[in-house]
Amino acid sequence: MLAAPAPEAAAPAGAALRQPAATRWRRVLRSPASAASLLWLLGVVVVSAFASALAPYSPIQQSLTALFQGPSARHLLGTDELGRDVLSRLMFGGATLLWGSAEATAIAFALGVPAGLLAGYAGRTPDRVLSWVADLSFALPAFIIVVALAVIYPQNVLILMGALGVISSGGVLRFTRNLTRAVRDELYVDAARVAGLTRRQILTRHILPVITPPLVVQACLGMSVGLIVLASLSFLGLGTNPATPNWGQMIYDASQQITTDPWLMVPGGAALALTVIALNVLGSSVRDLAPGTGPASRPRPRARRRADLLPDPATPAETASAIGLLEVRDLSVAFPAGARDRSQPVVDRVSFTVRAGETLGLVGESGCGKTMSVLSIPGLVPAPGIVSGGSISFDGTELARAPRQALRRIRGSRIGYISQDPMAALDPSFTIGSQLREVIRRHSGCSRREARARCERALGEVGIADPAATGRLFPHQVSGGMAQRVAIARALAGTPELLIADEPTTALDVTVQAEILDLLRELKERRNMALIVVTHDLGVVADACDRVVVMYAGQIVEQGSADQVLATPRHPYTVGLLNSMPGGRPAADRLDAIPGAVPAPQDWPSWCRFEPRCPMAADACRAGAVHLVQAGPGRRTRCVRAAELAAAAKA
Amino acid sequence: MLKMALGRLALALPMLFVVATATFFLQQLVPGDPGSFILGKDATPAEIRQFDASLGVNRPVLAQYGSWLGGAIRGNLGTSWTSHSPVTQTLLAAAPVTLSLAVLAMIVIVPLAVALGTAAALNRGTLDRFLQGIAGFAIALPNFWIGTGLVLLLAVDLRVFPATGYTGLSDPAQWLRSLALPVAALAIGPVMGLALQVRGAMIDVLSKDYIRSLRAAGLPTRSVLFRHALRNSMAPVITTIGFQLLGLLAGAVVIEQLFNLPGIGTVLVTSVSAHDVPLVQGAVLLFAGVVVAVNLLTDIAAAVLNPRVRGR
Repeated sequence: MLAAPAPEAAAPAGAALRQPAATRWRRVLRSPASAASLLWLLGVVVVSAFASALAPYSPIQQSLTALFQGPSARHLLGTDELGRDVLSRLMFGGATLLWGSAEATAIAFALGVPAGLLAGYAGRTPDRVLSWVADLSFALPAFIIVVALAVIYPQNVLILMGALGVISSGGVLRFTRNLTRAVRDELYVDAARVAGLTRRQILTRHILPVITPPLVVQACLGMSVGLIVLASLSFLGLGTNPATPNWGQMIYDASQQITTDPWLMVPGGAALALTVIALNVLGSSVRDLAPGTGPASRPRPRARRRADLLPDPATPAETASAIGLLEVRDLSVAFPAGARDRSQPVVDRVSFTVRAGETLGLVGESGCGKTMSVLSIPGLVPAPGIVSGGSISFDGTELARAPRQALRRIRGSRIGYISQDPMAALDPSFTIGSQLREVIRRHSGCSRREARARCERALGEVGIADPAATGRLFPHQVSGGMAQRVAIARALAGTPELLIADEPTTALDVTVQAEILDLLRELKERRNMALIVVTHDLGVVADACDRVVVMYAGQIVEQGSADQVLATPRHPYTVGLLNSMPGGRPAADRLDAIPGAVPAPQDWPSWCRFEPRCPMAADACRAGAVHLVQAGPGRRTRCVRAAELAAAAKA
Repeated sequence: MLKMALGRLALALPMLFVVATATFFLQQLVPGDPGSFILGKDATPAEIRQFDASLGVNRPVLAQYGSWLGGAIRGNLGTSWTSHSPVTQTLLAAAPVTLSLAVLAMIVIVPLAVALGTAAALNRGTLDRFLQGIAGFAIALPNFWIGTGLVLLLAVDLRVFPATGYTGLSDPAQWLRSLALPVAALAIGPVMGLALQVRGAMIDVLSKDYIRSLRAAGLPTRSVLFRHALRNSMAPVITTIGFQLLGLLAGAVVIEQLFNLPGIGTVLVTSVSAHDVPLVQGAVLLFAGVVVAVNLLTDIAAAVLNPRVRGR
């Protein structure tokens, strides 16, 4: 009860939390709410510790001539039904509660944390035994037992709260165990084990530091529960000695005088509530230290190096004659960054065309803006991102500025989408058949019976051997390749004219990748559908694509027919990608793989964005923004030294 | 599924036995003999001895344990030392009050919390900030403080509801009226606590890949939110609901006192004050049984909602 056992304890992303403790605590204090909480708690502790020196009156000194006086200069919080000074009672009334709940929490953690570490780290048998003990403690009605114990030890806070601590240690045990197990499986702990560190070294150096913040959170929550439990016991007249007042008892006394003087409810209630709130706020701000949620992990825009956002002067139409099924022009996607009204583009004026029945490859490393570019087509850029510029014309309809209703009509029925991780793309709570049938019925409006038949046909079409049986399975019961087939069937249920496949094979085993790619190609042919394949693998482009767009740091750096681009790349980045392919051809230059990584959007240089990693970088590359220029029929490149590349290829 | 439920039950029953045994032996630690406490200072030693003998407390402890356990298995939890009526009967008479309180509170808590939490997750603006602010206070204020405030406001000042007392189910309207304030006092904290949980779970689920994929497949917002997102966010929430229900039982002990309701909590508190050991034991055992049952139901509900657990 003290520590609500979290069944799915948030797995701490271990490595990221490993920063100097001082930095972390300083971050807690930076938030005004948690600083105020800490201040309040310190105040309560100090006042409680030195109440006899600080309080203006004795907490039990009665004055029958001064009953129910409201707040005044003599009695800042007034007097109660026996003329006792409320402020003084308040100042004396915290100590018992604080001590009692600190005791319960300390006992719960002293028992629970070592046992939890043991259960989580030492192996199977201790885990089983200790988990059983923890389960047993969950069968105990903690509060009721503490109340019952009051028969034996009336008003003995030490024993009553000690018992609460013992019972609650089961929850702490389970919590610690789950945390420990999550960390134990982290790679760096494996590495430490392989490096020959002893079990004790691993526990104290690698596991304890990581699980400490969540345990601190739990301890704060435990303290606040302990306070309420002890206050409730006092309210029932079981907790503490009437001679030494505490806040719970003050509320009880006040509740007996509620019609005469409702004010008396306020001081005790406020003191208790504020202390509990302070503990909860402090707890949650420690929890927010987890990576990815803290303010420091948010990228800060660096204005000095921000890329110029002037329009490209020369954006020649790709092929003036053929009007595509999908025409994307100067598309930009941006996310809010740092200060108000500032936004950071992640896709920067991207233009491409997809003709009916054609396959376009969108290539680049992670973080180049490929996924955001394609998600903007069916209007699925995740909030708070927005399409900040350009147009997306699909079969004559403008999608970039279309109302939500119009986009919803197009999704699934005209534009399909399959995502990178097929296991994550299927709703884990519904069977494969049920989610497929729902989409089928949505698009065809057919009967349930008809949907069942269509569902089996759809699963058959994507190469699933036993559609009826597969339909009854849940997503976690099938393999990744099978899940991707299901995801494809679901994306095609509305017979779209364009299918967007975002890294459709990346998450799959190598042997399955080719099957899925074949399936996509085959379905595309059969349905005469256009296809956009997002990938970082030029092998996929070579296998499946008619044309290709290479993206780097939010921009298109090269585009053209797949054959041309693969055979005679006109951008050093494409060359680098080609050379990093296993079995890729040896390059004209010394490039083996591309050193470094794609810079984060706020670090994009204002000149050629690839320059810092480019083996051909020269002074000219740093002179200013580089524009996308025509480089032969149907080809464009964004490189000042493209001509040299072309010459080298001919040589 | 059935196998899992039976497995859980097989674990739960020994636990109940352990709790029963622990309860019995703990109560043996009560200092002094019951006669001198219950009869008071005026009783003669002979009277006390006779009283103790009538309760059977001077028999060997193991013999007492044997007969108590034997009786407990058959549903006979002994006789009260103060009222001399059967413990089982006393508890059964009080059970409907506590049960009404807990069930009504859950009926209020779950739908309200799900609605509030979902609304806050979908509208991350004013409503969200409001919920978080209010929730902080509602969770921090003890239920007896909230209860007293409600009495002052709605019973004393406005006279909408009775301040104390209980009316049986035979008069449903009065029954509801008599329980309205206690239920509100019990529910306000948990509603806010659960709403925060629902909000967190919903925000988490809405960022999932499958939600985007379902939208991309053309499902209407209604289905994506209320069929798929809500269903998935309920799986972690259901465990919290179980804990809330157990928390309600503890809360009921206090609230029954505050509103003078003759429920199990009242039986427990009065028997504790009166050193009526058999009644205390019976009440603790009954609460333990409810805890075991609630945990079992929570596990089953979680399994129903989460196909990955169900398969195991």
